Formats: sequence, C-alpha cells, structure tokens
Amino acid sequence: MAWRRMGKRLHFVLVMVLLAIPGLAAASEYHGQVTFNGMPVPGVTVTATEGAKSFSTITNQQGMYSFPDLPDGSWTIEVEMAGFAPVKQDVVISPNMPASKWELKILPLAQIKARIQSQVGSASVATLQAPKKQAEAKQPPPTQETSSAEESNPFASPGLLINGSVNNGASSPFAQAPSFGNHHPGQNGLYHAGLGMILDNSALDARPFSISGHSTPKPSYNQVTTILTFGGPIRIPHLLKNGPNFFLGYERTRSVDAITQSALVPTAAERAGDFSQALSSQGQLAQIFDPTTGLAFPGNVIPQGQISPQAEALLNLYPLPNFTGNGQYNYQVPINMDTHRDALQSHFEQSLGTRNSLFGGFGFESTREANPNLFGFLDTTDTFGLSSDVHWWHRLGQGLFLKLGYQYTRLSTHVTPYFLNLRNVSGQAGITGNNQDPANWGPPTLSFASGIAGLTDAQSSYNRNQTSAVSYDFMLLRGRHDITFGGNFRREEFNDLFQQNPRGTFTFTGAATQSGASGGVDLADFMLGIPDASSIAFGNADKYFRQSAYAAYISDDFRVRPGLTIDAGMRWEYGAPMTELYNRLVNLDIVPGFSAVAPVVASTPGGPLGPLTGMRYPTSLIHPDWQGFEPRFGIAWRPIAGSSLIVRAGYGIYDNTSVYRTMALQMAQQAPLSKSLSLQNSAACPLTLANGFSTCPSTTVDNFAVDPNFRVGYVQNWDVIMQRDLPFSLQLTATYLGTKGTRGLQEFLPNTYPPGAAIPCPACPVGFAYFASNGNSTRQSGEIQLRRRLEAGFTATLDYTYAKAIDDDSLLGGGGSNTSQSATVLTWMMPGGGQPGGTQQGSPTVAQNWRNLNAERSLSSFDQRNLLSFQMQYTTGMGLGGGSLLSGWKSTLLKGWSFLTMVSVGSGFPQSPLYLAPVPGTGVTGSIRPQYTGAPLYSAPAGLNLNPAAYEAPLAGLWGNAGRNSITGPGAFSLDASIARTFQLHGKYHLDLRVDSTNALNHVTYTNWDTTINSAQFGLPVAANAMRSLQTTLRLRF
Amino acid sequence: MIQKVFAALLLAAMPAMAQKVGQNAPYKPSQNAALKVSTNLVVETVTVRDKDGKSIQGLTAKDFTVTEDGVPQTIQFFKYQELPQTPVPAQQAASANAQVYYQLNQTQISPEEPGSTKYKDTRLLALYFDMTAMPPEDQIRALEAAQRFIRTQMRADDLVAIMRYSGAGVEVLSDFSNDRDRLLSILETMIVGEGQGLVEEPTSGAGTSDTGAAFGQDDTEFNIFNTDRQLSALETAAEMLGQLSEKKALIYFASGLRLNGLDNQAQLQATVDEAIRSGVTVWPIDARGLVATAPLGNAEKGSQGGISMYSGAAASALTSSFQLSQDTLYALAKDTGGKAMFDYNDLTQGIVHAAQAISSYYILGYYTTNTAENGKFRRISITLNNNHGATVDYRHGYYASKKFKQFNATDKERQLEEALMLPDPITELTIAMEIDYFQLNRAEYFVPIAVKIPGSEVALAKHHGAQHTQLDFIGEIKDNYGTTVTNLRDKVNIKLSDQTASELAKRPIEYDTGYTLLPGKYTIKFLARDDETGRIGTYQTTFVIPDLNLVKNQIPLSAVLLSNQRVDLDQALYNAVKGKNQEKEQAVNPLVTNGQILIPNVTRVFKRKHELYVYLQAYQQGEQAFHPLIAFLSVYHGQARVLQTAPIEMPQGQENRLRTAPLNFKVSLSKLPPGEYVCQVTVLDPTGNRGAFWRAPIVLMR
Repeated sequence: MAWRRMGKRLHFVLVMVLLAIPGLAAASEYHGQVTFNGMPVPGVTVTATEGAKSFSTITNQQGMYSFPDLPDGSWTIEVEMAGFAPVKQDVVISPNMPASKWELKILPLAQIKARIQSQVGSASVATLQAPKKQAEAKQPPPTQETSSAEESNPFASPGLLINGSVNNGASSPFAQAPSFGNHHPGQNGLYHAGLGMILDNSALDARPFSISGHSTPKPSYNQVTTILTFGGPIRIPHLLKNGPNFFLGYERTRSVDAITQSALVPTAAERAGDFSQALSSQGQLAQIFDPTTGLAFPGNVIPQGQISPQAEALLNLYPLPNFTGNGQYNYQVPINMDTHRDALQSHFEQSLGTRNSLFGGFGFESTREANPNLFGFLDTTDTFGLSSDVHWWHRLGQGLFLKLGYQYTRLSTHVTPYFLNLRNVSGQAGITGNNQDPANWGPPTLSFASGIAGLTDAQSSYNRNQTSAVSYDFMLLRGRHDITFGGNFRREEFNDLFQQNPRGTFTFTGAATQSGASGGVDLADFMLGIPDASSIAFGNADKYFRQSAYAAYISDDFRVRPGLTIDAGMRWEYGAPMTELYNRLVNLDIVPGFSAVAPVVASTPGGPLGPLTGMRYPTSLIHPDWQGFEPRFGIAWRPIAGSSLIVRAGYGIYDNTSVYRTMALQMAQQAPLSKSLSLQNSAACPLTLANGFSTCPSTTVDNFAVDPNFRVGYVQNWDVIMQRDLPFSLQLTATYLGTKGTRGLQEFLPNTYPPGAAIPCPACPVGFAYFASNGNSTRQSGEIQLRRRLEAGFTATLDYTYAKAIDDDSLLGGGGSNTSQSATVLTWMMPGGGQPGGTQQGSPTVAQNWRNLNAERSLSSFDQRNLLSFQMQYTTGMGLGGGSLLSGWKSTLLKGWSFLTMVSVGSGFPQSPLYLAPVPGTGVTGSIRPQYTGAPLYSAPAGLNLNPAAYEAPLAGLWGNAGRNSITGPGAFSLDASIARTFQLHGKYHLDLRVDSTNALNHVTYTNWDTTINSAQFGLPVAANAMRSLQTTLRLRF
Repeated sequence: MIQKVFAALLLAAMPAMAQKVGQNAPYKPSQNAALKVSTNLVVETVTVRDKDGKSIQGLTAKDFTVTEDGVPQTIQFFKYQELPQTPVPAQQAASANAQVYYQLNQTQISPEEPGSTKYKDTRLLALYFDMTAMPPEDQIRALEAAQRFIRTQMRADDLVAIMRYSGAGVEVLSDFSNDRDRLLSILETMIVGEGQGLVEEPTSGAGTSDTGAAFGQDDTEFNIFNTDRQLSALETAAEMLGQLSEKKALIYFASGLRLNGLDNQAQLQATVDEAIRSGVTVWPIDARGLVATAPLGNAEKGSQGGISMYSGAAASALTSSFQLSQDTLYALAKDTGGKAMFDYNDLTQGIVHAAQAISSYYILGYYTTNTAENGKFRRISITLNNNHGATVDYRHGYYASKKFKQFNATDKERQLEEALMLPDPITELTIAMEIDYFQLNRAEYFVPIAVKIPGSEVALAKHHGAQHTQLDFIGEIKDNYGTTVTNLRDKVNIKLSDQTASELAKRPIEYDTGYTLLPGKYTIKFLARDDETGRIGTYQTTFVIPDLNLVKNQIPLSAVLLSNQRVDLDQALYNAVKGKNQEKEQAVNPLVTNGQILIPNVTRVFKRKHELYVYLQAYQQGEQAFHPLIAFLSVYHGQARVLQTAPIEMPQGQENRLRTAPLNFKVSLSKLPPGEYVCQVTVLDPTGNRGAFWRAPIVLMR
C-alpha cells in the first residue's frame, strides 16, 4: 500500500519535474507542411494562437514549419500567404502528434491585388518600365567611414563593370565556334610564311667558255627572283569562322641574262664576190663555177654584175666579222636577254561537314621576254598561262568515296618579231612569192651548209590554247582490297594565229657553183641568187584545232599479306585525232605503192572521200585508234619474314599521248586551202632568190601526208627491283628495267632517190613527207644503287646504270605533258629530268632511204651506255649523334650548315652524221647521211673532236652508208655543289642563306659535236655547257 | 567580421542547385602577393638497354651519374618501373565499343606540375595522324591500324593520345587516356579525306601523267612550303608532349614526307631538335604499307607520253621520289631514337614496336643545383658508371622555369592554359562567381556568368606609372563526358585614370560573360589572371541547366538574379566586344535594358543604402493565351516576414513562343537593420492555378 502511495508521489514528482522543463512536459513539438498543388510553399506565415498566446513561424524551402515547444492544448493554427486564401483550423497539440498538412488555395487575381499590402512603408514597387537612367547607376563614391566595412568584405561594394564577350549562339550550340572571346592565342602558329630571294650576278660567275677560242669581255647580267609564300586557315572574325586552308605563293623574276654567241659570217671580201680565200670543208681551196657557163669564175671572184641584188639586200642584215677567224668562227657577240616573269599560285582546302571536302587551286604566270638574236633582231614573246582546278571529295559510305574534279587551263603566247610593221625586207629586196603582210615582214630564212650563220628570225604568232577536263574517281575500300575506278574526259582547244613558214626558207649547199662533184661554195650560190632548195607554207593563218581525250580505269590494290601486295588494273585511254573547227585540214589520198596522190580535204561537202582510193575519211582525216587498252600490274613481296629484303616487279603498257598535234598543224597548211611547197632547184624548176616559191610540176603541191590508219604508239615497261637494308643506314637496290616501244612514229619521203641517181619512177609524185606508225624501240637497263638514308644529317647515293636503247623511229614520245618547270628545282631531285630530251618533244627526223626503213635502226638518241652518279648531303647538328643539343657558341658556330654535292659522269649520247643537201625532188635537207670512209672517226686532227676524213659525200646515185646515231657525242660530266646555313633569328623566324654552284669545278663540257660534214665547224663542239655559276638564295621563313 | 563570416557561410552553404554562386577560397585580407615557388625537382625516366636491345634491370641510383649543364647532380629519388609485355586478353578487347561522335573536340595535353610524374607505371603513346600527308586510302589504313591496336594490343597501362594535323594547326583530339571506348570513338569519328587539297601530288617532273593541260602550275614553292608546314606541325606536337617529363613515343602516320633539296633542311632540324629536347621519340609509320606498282604507275595514273617513257627517266623518277619520301621518315626516327616502319601492310605492328620499346625504365629525380629561373634549356646527361656497352635513353634536357616578369606573350598564354588544366584550383586571386540561366527558346538557355574579383587584389599598375593594366580571363565549360562544350578567352586592357585607380582599391571588379547552352549538367572552370603580377585565381564548379520544358505543375522560372547595381553600359571599364557586335550581343542579353545592364550581386551581400534589384523571367510555353501573373517579393528575418512588396501584375508576356514574362523588383533595404535575411519571390498564376516560389539568403550590411 505504502509502495502504491510512494508510487503515486513519485509519479507526481516526475510529472512536476517534467513540467518544470519547458516544452517537455506541458509542451509538444508541432510541425507541418504547407503545400500548393502538392508542391511545398515556402515563406508562409503560420501562426498558432491560444487565447492571448500567439506564436508565429515561417515555412522553409520545403514548406515545412515547426513550433518546437508549443504547450499542449487546443490551438488555432492560421496559415497565411499572400495570394492564397487564409486557412484556419483548431488543432489539439499533444506529444507525438503527426505533422499537419495544409493545402493552400489560390485566390482570384482581383482579390490578390486587393489583399496584399505593403508591409514596410518604404518598400517601393518596381514597375515594368526600366528605371530612369542615372537614377541608380551612378553610385556615390564610398565615403571614408564605410571603407573599413568594405575592406572586410571586398564584394559588398558595387563592382566596376567589365563587359566580357558573350556567346549568343543563335540557333544551336553546335554552331558555336570552339572558342570565343576577344583574344585568340596561338593563331600565329597556324600561319606560315616565307620570303625568298634568289640572286645571280655575273660578277660571281666564271667567264663563259668561248667555243670559237676568241675571248670577249665577260657579259654582265643580273637575275633577281623574289618569292613570297603564305598559308594557313582563312578566318575572318564574325564572317568566316572556319574558312578554308589556303596557300598563296607569288614569284617575281627580273632578269637580264647574257650569253656569248659565236658564228661564222661572210667576210668583206666575200660580200664583194671575192671567194679567193674560200676553203672547202676538207681545207682545200674551193673553186666556184659560173652556173650559166659551167666555167670557173676567174680568180674565184664573182663579177659585180652577176651578184644578185636580193643577196646584196639580205647581206646587209649580216654583221661584219669582228675578229679574224680561223675559218670556223669570225664573229662573236654577247646577247642580252630580258625576262620579266610574275607567277602566282594558290591552293585551298575546305572540309564541309564530315562527308565532303572541297579543294582546288588557281595559278597564273605571265612572262615578258625580249630576245635579240645574233643579227640584233629583237623579238618579244609574251606568254600568259593560267590554271585552275576544283575537286569535290565526298564520302558515300563506309569505305566508299567519290571524287569529282574539274580543271581549266589556258595559255596564250604572243610572239612579235623584230620586223613586224617595221620593214618589208623581202619586198624591198625584190623577193616574190612569199607572204608580205606587215605581220610577216622580214627576211626569208637562209640556211648554209658550210656553217655560215643562217639568217633567221621568229615568226609572228598569237596562239591561245585551253583545256577543260572533268574527272571522276570512285574508291571502294573493302577489307584487304582497295578498288578504284573512274574516268576522265578533256577537251583541248588550240586556237592558233600564225603561219607555218610565211617568209620562206632558202637552203644553199654550193650545188649551183659546183661543177660535177667538185668545188662549189654555198655563199657563192647565195651571191648569185640561186638556192639549192626552198620551202614555204602560208595561208589560213587562223586555225582552231579541237581534240577530245577519254580515259577509264579500274584498279585493285590487294594487300594479300602484311608482306605481299598485288596491284592489278586496266586502263583505257583514247585520244581522238585532232579536228579543225572549219575542217580546214588536207591530207593526201594515196594509192598503195605511192604511185599516185591526190589531196583530200576535210571540209568537202558530204564528208571527205579519197578521190583515188574511194576511202571515206573522218573529218580528222585520220582514223581513230580505239585500242588503247593498258593492263598494269605490280607486285611487292617481302620473301623472308623479318628481313628487309623486298622484291618488287611490275609490268605496264603506256600509251604515247598527244601525238596528233604535229600532224594536224601540217595538214592545216596545205594546198588547196593554202600554199605549201618544198622545192629543189632543178632545170625543170629553176629557183632564184627573186622567185623561189612557185609551184613546180615535178613536186607535189602538198608537202605532207599521214597514214590514215595511223596508230597510237605504246610502250611496254617491265621491271624487277630488289632492295635490302644494310648496316649503317645503308640500302642496296638493284633494278632491271625493260622497255619496248611499238607503233613508233616514222617519217620518210616517198619516191625519193639518192642524189645523182636516175629517177626510178618519173611519174611518181615526190616532194611530200609521209607519217606512218611502224617504228619499234627497245631499251634494257640495269641499275645498282647504294644509298645511305638520311640519318644524323648525312645522306649519300652512289648509282650506276648500264643501259642500251635501240630504235628505228623518227621521234619517240608524243606531245607529253606540258608542265612548266621551275629553275629552282635542282635537277638531281628528279633523275632523268636532267637528261637530254627530258620531257620535251624534239622534231621528227626524216628517214634517209624510204625503201629501207630498217637502215634507220640504230642506237636511240637518248642511249647513254654508262652513267655513274653520286650525291652527298650533310647537315651539321642533326639528331642526337649529330649534335642536336649543342648550345652556346659551339651551336652558333657549328649548327645548321648544309653541304650538298652531286657528281655525274656518263658516256656521250649518239649523234648522226649529216650531209647537208636537199633530197632530190624535194626541198628537204638534213636526212642524207655521208659515206663512211673507214678512217678512224675519233682520231681527229688537233682542235677537232671528230675526224673529217672519216666521212665523205655520198657516192653518186647511192645513199650514204654512215649509220644513224653512229657517232658518240661528248661525254657528260657535271659537278654541282651547294652550301647553306640556317640562322634561327627569333622564335619561329629562320633565315636560310644558300649558295648553289653549278659546274663547281668550272670544267668545260660540250653539248654535242657538229656532225654536218660539209660544215666548216665539223668536229667542233656546237656549244659548251654552262661554266661555273653561283646562285645565292636568301629565304626567311616564319 | 561577423558579416565576413556570414558571407563565407553563405557561399559555402549554397545548395547544389541550378543557380550557382560560389567563391574559390575564403578571402584572406592578409593574403600575400607571393608567387608560388616552383620546386626545383627534375624527374627523368631512363631506359637502359644492353647491346642486344634488352632492358637492363637491377640498377641502383649509384650506377648512374647525372649532370646538368655539366654540373654533377645528386639523385634524390630512384625507382624502377617494369611494364608487362603481354597483350590484353581478347575478351577484354571485345568489350570496347566505339560510337561516332557528332563532332570532335579539341583538347590539350595537360601538363604536370614541375617535379612530378603524373603518369606512373605507364607508357605514353601519342598517335599523330598527318592528314595532309596521306591520301584517303592511307588515312583509312592508318586509322584502322590504330583501332586494331587499341582493340587488341593496347594494355591497361598504355595511355594513348590522339593528335591530328589537317592543314591548320595541330589538334589534340584526346589527351593521354586508357579509355578505349573513347579513343575508339574518336578514331571512328575522324574524317577520312581531310587535308586532300594539301596532299602533294607530283605535278611536275618526269613522273607526271599527260593531262593535256595548256598550262601547268609550278608547284615547287607549294611543295617546299607544305613540307615545312608538316614538319613544323610535328615540331608543335613534340613541344606539346614536352610538358611531360615521362618518355613519350610519337607514332607518326604519313605516306612519306619529301624534302625538297636543302630547302626543308632547316625545318627538319628544328623538328628533330624539338623532339630531342622534349624527350619525344618519333616512330614513323609509312601508311602506304608495302607498295606494289607498275613501272610507270598503276592504272589510276594516265600515261605521260613523251620521251621519258622510253628513256627510263620516268621509271627512275618514280622510284627515286618514293625513296626520298621514305628518307625523311627514316631520319625523323633515327635522329630521335625511334624506328620507322616501311614497306609492311600491317601498320599496327609499328605501334606495337613503339609500345614495346618502352618496357621498363628507371625514374630518377634530383633537385637541381641551378636555381636560376631563366627559362633556358638545360642539358641533362645521364651515364652509367660501369656498363659502357649499354645504351641509356632519356630526355636530354628541360627548360628551366621563368619568372613571370620575364614571360613573353607565348609563355603567358601557356601559363594560363596550364593553370586551366591543373586539377587543383589556384587561389592567388579571389574569384566569386554567379551562374544564372534564362530560357531563350525551346532548346537553348542563355547563361550569364558574373565574376567578381576584389579590386584591391588586382595589382595597381598605376603605382608603376602605367596607364593601363591588363586582366586575362579564360574559361571552359565541359559536359558530363568531359568534352569541352565551349570555351572563352578574353583579354581585358583597362585604362587607368586616377579615379579608376583609386576606386579599384575599394571596389571589386565585376566581369560579365555569358554562354548559350542546352539543358544539362556542366562543369565550368574559370580563371582570371592579373597580368601585372601574374597572380591567378581559378574557380571550378558544376552546375545544372534545368529543362524548364519539363516543369508542369509549377510556373517555370528562370534563375532569379539579385542585384544592387544597374550600370550604364558606356560606363563599363572595358568592353570586350565593340560596335555592332556589341549591340547584337546586348539585344539577346536579358540583363540589358535601355543601355543599362543589371549586374548580379554574386555574393548576395548588400548594403542598407543600396537598392535591391530582383530580376527573373517566368515562362508559359505552350499556353493558348497568356495567363496574367502576380508576383511579389518578401523578405524574412528569422521566423518573421519583415517586408513584402505590393504585387506586380503581368497582364501580358513577350511575343515569343515561350511567352516570356520578365519580372523586375526594386526594393529599398534602408529600413532594415543589418543582419541575415531570406529573400523570397512568389509568382502566382491564378488562372492556371499554379505558383512558383524562389528564395535565397542574403546578408545586409551597415
């Protein structure tokens, strides 16, 4: 019982104690949440009222409110928030009571406005209008008393505004530039530029070699080339953010170049008709005979009265000798050539999204040249070329690509000869039969067999060529196969305004002053006014040639294994024979055996039809050759895994391209559409200087014909290359290259016969040259090369080639590519580029005996039996071993030097001996070869390189037996060297200074020998290669 | 003091919500202008191989002699690292997934602090694709080889970076990473066919097709220039990699590189020098693989016509041009200690060779005895004391650090970029930042960013008589995947009048910028530098741009901007954008009205004498008709409301698809005692029975 009472007391005490602690006993924690649409409402005033007692709190972010110690009992809870209907409810507060939930209801607009009152009188209401300017903007400067507070919080004061860049990507953030702002670092690194200057001044060069032996003052010349290059991405702020990458290069050359030219000109005595000193090529006195009487001129002097007034007039154009010669040369003069060249080149590349890219280029070159010749005739040549191309690269899908291209090129050449609109030389001299339009004023071309300088000047011309080409290429990459196929088409236009030979050509061989086979002086012939041959071609000066070329190919590059690749493909190329816009082409329709010819004109109504054969001709007058299929195959193989030995082999057929141009040019200048003659002086057709261009019944009025079934030549090439690495970065390569050319061009003179022979077929037409395609050629070469690859700045190559080439063609190679080459490219960079011939086209040689074309089979003109070349280049301070880390004065002194040397020694190129005389019945000279006497060719008398006794004039009635290309020309030797130094100026600025020396040893080498046996210069070098010259290049790169 | 603590608390307590306010470090008034002292620790990774090319193990620090510019150095720490050689199991490789990205972003090779090795136990392989030196088929071959390597050969400890050059500048598409998915995705996304206009085609010389062109452009200068540029790009790449003191292999994909006589020799030398100085070995891979060709070219190539087809000149030109193109690659490899891979179709093998060359190395570090901060290159020589036959491969030197005063423009720029990439913030300058957002259209949000820097911390160039002082700002926003979405670089040149100079001492600098972003989660890293002293402050934070289109039963609201300042734009210290572009920018900027800009307060500390401006936008996208809005501002102190404005009524929104309703409040706080308050904005739509509430704490100062 006591325990019970005790318990009650204890209970009471406990309650009292609990009550004494506020909020524990008589008060409870009370909380709740205010929501609107189920979302918490913060900032709501919650007031709890019980009688006079009133507590108030505010809901937090979560809409929660809490009264931590509300005395237990019944309270009126009021939930109040502006804009909402107030909520009032009585709640009994007790311990552990659950949270209350209050859902507010929004009031209508009007009620809200009415109810909300400003709680603090001064709190103003902002209006939607912007506040008046300068109202609040200009803050009063902080007063001194507040500064301590500001120091304690640096951010409390209003800030000083800096308006930074703002990126307002208008449509999509993906369109944003990767970076924005007003500062673009690293832009400099994107751009590169170069400034170069190439200088060549005669002061530093060696004196040119005088082949005449007569020394003249060193010509003074100067050449300055300025080069400017610049490239990088085009970015124009706010206009072109991601522009194309571009390259721009500009090159300007101003040069005055001088060479010394030597010649043999008529002496004062000879000009007066006195040939008492005239020597034959064999060194004996050459007797001259009067052609009218057949008797020797007394004292070897032509009487004044017999001297042709035309010859006298033309002789005035010749300078007098300026030194007493040795019978080989008596005149020497420096010739200054002026060249102005400006060239611009540009390239661009632009990616368009992830699938497309566009790239192309544009370039032009303008050249103004003024070239005087030996006679002081100053001709000017202006050329302007431009090229542009654009390519579109498109990704069709995974591993499938398409490339489309368009190219346009144009070249105009304008030649203004000296006498144009200046003086009608032919007319004043009394020469008739040639074209005497003011554009073609000037002397006829004179050519002398004995080596007297031929009178010549450029022809007036204004040619504009242009080519448009489209191409498409597909590339399909599937696994180990890389298949490409595509094609291209191009249209070439040659708009020529020139005449082939409007002023005419006279050739003098001494035949007129000869008696039988003895005596005769070509200059005496000239004085008498009797040429041995003449030729002329003019009429329809404007010619518009058109040509289309097509190509298609498919190729598969198959990566069989890591160490084996096979590439096989087929290409088809077709170049349509050239046509003329107005079909002004003339070919000859020829019966088999050349017994009769008749002109066939492309513009014939109803289509050209052969009058003799009845054959239908296309308007090009040459049947197209569609068979340009060219299989190509290559294999590369690493036979031993892990070894560096690589074997490559390949085979391919390559067409001879652009072959029709020479033919079309000649076909466009023929009777009946124009005048073209090639005549020999004969009793039937007497030629004089005054009247040398009249038709002759025994000679065809057209001087050119081409086989209507002319086929495009092709060449088969096959090679095997073995390559292996050796220690010390050495690499050994052995190459075998075989070449076989088929359907080569041959040119011959049908129905001709040797001088002095009876005419085999008097009725047969003679006087025209004929083009056919039955030539063959072959070349085999073996090459062994030992190279040290570039390491530590040192590289060297030793290369030996043994080759032999044989052909019976009159010309190898067609037009080929027409690409300008810069003088700054060192030839050794492109072996072969420096070899004679290069890619330029020579003129066709005419076969001597049209009945025996096999006799033309000989070594090729480019046959160089042995060629040894060595190149070495060393740059100091390259690589770890080379001193890359040198610093201080050692670095300044020793680093950045480069040395380069190239040596090449080779055997001479073959040359043909010539006997200069017209082929009977034609005006063609240069195809007759002399008779070989059996005397040793190379054991020449002092001063000569070939023995004149080895040859004599061909025997009467027979062709000369000396073989084509049977003379080995002068051996080739060259040694070039360069030294260069790089200076690092500042940052990425580098200055290169380089001196290139051509023919560093100043060693005399010759281009070729004079092989015309009736010339006074036979056995002498025609020209010497350039002597040492130093070219300085200064280049600033940044 | 209390207010200061308030401010700090306020900034620290900001919840991770969309609108961000923050500061890089608590401001210390006593903070000294002392520059960070860079350590003089030099770290080198050294490989030692015997005559057979095998790594020599078990060497100790005593076996090495280290000299710097000829002065012997004491090795302070030494470690041997061995990397496993076996490739990863195939199944692990299969897990790698590649996706094609919408676009590729440029990044940078992030530098490491001087004296540290960031990448331990790893080998660094930089795959460098020279797109201007590769035709498309070779580009594909190169990219496939790289993918194959990453799928099948790459080890967990391989770190691969991807670099590309396509004509403009060197792009770093991926910093060193072992995230295969990402690497593969980048490779997958890289465009094939780039740089085509710059791929050198032999358009001159004996190896050319007959194009029938009337005129051919002489490309000599172009080729010289191009080669120079390719080599120069490689030099830049080496320089970038040089920021890391570890050994780096640069795997260079190119279809040969042709020197044009002596003309490119100087640039080749510069490139090799830079690679050696940067400790980069170049491993060129000839992307052409094993080339099979017919003597004068394959079927793609037209016949060239001309005599050179007959004379052998064309064939030999082709061969020698091919040899020359390999020579340069060979030299790059040999001169830098790498090895070139030629004539092999499996290009992956080339990468494997480069990787395997780094199999084990020693890390040794020393404190240099040369403490001069002169920025000069210092040559390091490391030799073995006993084993003379061994080859020792290491970075042959480093560039000493420089004093800021000696920095040139490039150094300064690099300092900024490096600071931006460093993981830890720099607090030499105090930076406070506020990030807001305003919806522009259905997709885009304009994100104004306000940065405050105490003017007193910006050194006063005026003291030295200068008329200008310069501030640099650089910022970068990355998305959730670490891809840079956008970045900013402003250079601010402030003209210092006497008045500006004195005000700078008391007032903060307020730099405003803005971005257009899509909804999402972002990280911003922002950096400011005082160009006078070189002091830098960085601030980094994450923020979220909410998709307001998803807000349904509330009124979608923009960020709420609290301000105590509205400034005439022409009163700004500096305008980064000028003229028409400035007008264009301001037309879009919601904070600009009538030539005045509302400046976010950033720290939300106000003075009683200031007016409180509040700006926000409410949106009613998709509503048929505009619902009139009612909005009011309340201020609370403790558990009581101390202030409430009269309601603003918005009867009409702007005429756009969002029906933007801009809401402006201006309140005087002068009647309130200093202290801590909560500011609340309530927006109600009685018609639509919707509401929206926003609140934030503010501090009121005397």
